[in-house]
Amino acid sequence: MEPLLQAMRKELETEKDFMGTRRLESVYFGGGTPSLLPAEGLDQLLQDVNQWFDVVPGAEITLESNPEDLEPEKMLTWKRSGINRLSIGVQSLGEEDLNHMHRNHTAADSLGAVDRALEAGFSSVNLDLIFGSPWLTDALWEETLDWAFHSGADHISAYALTVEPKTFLNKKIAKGEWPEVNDKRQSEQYRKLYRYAEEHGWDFYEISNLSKPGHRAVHNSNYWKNRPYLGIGPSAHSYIPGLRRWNVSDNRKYTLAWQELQPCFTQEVLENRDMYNEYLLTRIRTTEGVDLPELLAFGLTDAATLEELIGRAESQGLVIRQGTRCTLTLEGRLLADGITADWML
Amino acid sequence: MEQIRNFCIIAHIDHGKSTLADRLLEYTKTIDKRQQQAQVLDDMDLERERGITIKSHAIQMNYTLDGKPYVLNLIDTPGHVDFSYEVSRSIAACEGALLIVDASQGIEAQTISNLFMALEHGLEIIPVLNKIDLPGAMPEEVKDEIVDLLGVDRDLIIPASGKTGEGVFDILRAIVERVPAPKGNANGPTKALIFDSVFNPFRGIIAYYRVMDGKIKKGQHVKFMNMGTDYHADEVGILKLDLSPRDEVKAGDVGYIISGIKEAREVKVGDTITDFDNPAGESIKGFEDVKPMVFAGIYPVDTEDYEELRESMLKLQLNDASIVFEPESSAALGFGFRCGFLGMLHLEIIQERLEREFGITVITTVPNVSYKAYDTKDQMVIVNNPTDLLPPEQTKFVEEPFITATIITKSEYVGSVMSLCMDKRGILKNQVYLTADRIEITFEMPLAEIVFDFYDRLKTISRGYASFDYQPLGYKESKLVKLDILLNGKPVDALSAIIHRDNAYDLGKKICKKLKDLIPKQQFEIAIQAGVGAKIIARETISALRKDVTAKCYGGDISRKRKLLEKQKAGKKRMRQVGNVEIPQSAFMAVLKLNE
Repeated sequence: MEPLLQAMRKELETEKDFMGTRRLESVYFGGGTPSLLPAEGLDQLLQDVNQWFDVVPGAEITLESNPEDLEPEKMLTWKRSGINRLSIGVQSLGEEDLNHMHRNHTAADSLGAVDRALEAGFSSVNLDLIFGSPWLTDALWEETLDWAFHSGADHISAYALTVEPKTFLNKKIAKGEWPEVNDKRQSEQYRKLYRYAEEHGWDFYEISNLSKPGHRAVHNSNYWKNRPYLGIGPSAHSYIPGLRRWNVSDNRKYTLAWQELQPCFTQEVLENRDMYNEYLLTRIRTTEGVDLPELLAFGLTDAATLEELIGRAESQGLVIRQGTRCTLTLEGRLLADGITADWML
Repeated sequence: MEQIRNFCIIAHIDHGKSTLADRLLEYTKTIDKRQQQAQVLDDMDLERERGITIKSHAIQMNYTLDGKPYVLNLIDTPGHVDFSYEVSRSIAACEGALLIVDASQGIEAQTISNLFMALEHGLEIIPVLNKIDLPGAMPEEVKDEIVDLLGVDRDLIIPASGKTGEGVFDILRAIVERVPAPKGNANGPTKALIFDSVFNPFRGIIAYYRVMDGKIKKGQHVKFMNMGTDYHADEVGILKLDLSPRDEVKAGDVGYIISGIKEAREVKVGDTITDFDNPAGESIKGFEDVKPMVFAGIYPVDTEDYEELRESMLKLQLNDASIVFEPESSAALGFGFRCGFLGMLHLEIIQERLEREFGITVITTVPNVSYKAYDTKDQMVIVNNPTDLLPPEQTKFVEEPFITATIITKSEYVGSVMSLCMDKRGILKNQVYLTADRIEITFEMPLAEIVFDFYDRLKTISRGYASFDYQPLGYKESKLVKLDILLNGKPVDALSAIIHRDNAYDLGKKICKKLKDLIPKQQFEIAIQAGVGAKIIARETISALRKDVTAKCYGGDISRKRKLLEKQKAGKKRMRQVGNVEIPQSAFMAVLKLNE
């Protein structure tokens, strides 16, 4: 872990001006399992962040973790280092589900973990949930939601199980050993989640994210607002309007590169059209929706064309308009990708 | 004339014809190594990539043997069954043929049929055992095959390798010593056989011919006997690596003529060139007006490209007279063309040339043969498009073209080859053992059956050890029906096919299944049905799309997702709409890929 940590520290220092500002509204430790990083390492990185950047008071500083890693002592050190928000990878409360997903934790770990996090004083806790798996019955999903909404967590990220090509899951399904993912079940469970959010007065502000009012995740929201971000570590993505780049994913290559103070990344320059398409695909997922004047400001399309596209989706009950803004209905959320593709240039 | 030798090469695809031909050119110093663009004779890109010579060409070599100079004319022949008429005309222009057989593969069906053609024309055959340098070569076995087939003296078979150059001088000597010099009346009226023509964007059509009698002179007023057209010979000459203009080309020799002809269809292979004022008594026998065997609709992917497609097809026709087309329209595909091809390879070549040379991507509908339908008043209608077939109650009977199919395979695959042919409505006519383990089987079968995934299956079941050739046999009555495909109750005209009644259920089911895989889910349920007349015989259902949304969309996901959706959008743009159902391009060729 040590050489990798040193590499990340070097990257942090070298790239401190990438965003054009050193003002940070959020810091996020995620991707993979950062809770496995020794507490001192985490502390070191946060010290560096404070040294090179201007972290605003009350900035959101999140750590992703697995339920089984949430030991009280560890949490205290994290807290002392400045972490103020935990994102817990609960995924499911079904044992069968967890086994198939190769998770090391049990449902009991998750239940206890949230309590311990709250006890340790983390007021902001996110629960990562996965729905729509072949082993998650509707009853178990309801049970999960009943718990999640009353667990004390203020935020939920709920993802439909996705079968990615070349994964273990994909192979098992292809061989017929595991049941196929059923999109009817997935859509039903999503509807259930949507109803829960309404009933509990939560803010379902993005297709996969919901929170207690006023508790939206600052960090993730910025991804959808075209704001710059700097990613540190293997595979991390960085972005400023017009440019995106991502680090080499191989840990060893990344570490060796930074030993020579040599960044190792791939980048893409985003044309106006790319920016337009990205605006669409990120904004349409949020409750703010896409704003027509903002779309027209790209200078790539005309009002009549947009009117026609939006009008069609509106007549199908997929979107609604609020002033100049256009947002997805529940039905629209379930078909968001197709709508986005239709509207893209 | 006694110093001229005209010969062609008979070989199966991949048996090394082009490489060996290159060696002949190199050893006669017709080209030097540097000029050699690896396989000079195949000068279309497509030909070189596919490793086959699509259209024949010719080249003249000078070679001195025992102090005497000779002129050797090599007339190249296409190596695919689609072009067998062109082969026959090339053969008719020669006195000898090199029979090239791969020492590791043995003789193939295509080779045999061309060989017989050469024997019929009385050509002297020089057998060459090629690729003897390969580790897998079985020279003795393959020699046995050749001896059995030709009844030649074993010692007359020349072992060679196009790769190393071994045997090349022996071949040159054999051409001079064994191929007879051309015969003909050097002073008679002009008589020349056209065996090929090429299109040159600056000079128009260049016709290649062999002078049988008399000579062709620059400025001569000539007549093409079968076409009944006449021209002035602006330029004549012989074929070196480039065109070499001459004042005249004499009897026995091979040459070219440029006479201001603009379109390929004005010149027909097999036609006779004669003098306008002093014509030959009769034309050279064997001329045929080649008819297309396979028809398919060709439509622009983007409906707006129709005009561009038309222009491109016209340009293609300038140098490929064998393609015919007429406009047609389809409810599903819009405006396009019904095109006739010599065979499936020809179809693929045209499709690829449209893409490469003109940058047009097309949707090709399921190919079909040409049917003859008789209505209740005994009126015959030629049906080149399934939608033209009248409903059953108005049709008395339908005839379809049959072929004699010849397949040569290893004896261990005979069983599976036979069952494939039976499956394809074939009737076994004959089987002959060529050697202990190679067998020639002859079937009578409908041409339509080899259009639908025949070659690929033949290759698979024989592990590549079967070769195939066919001869048209004429039309016969068959129990044929039109199979329609309906999406949500609306027939998709471009998916209709004419098939044998006994196959309707099975095929209907398979097509519905395949379409279920190819048509993406939409916001509503889609019923896919197959029907014959008013009767529905198969059905599949595509359930409504319930969920189409990516779960995560954070920093690392955005770029990937954008590219994915862009691709999805591009695919959608290329889809065609029938009723409310969107159909991807791939679905229109689905019937050809039922077994994948």
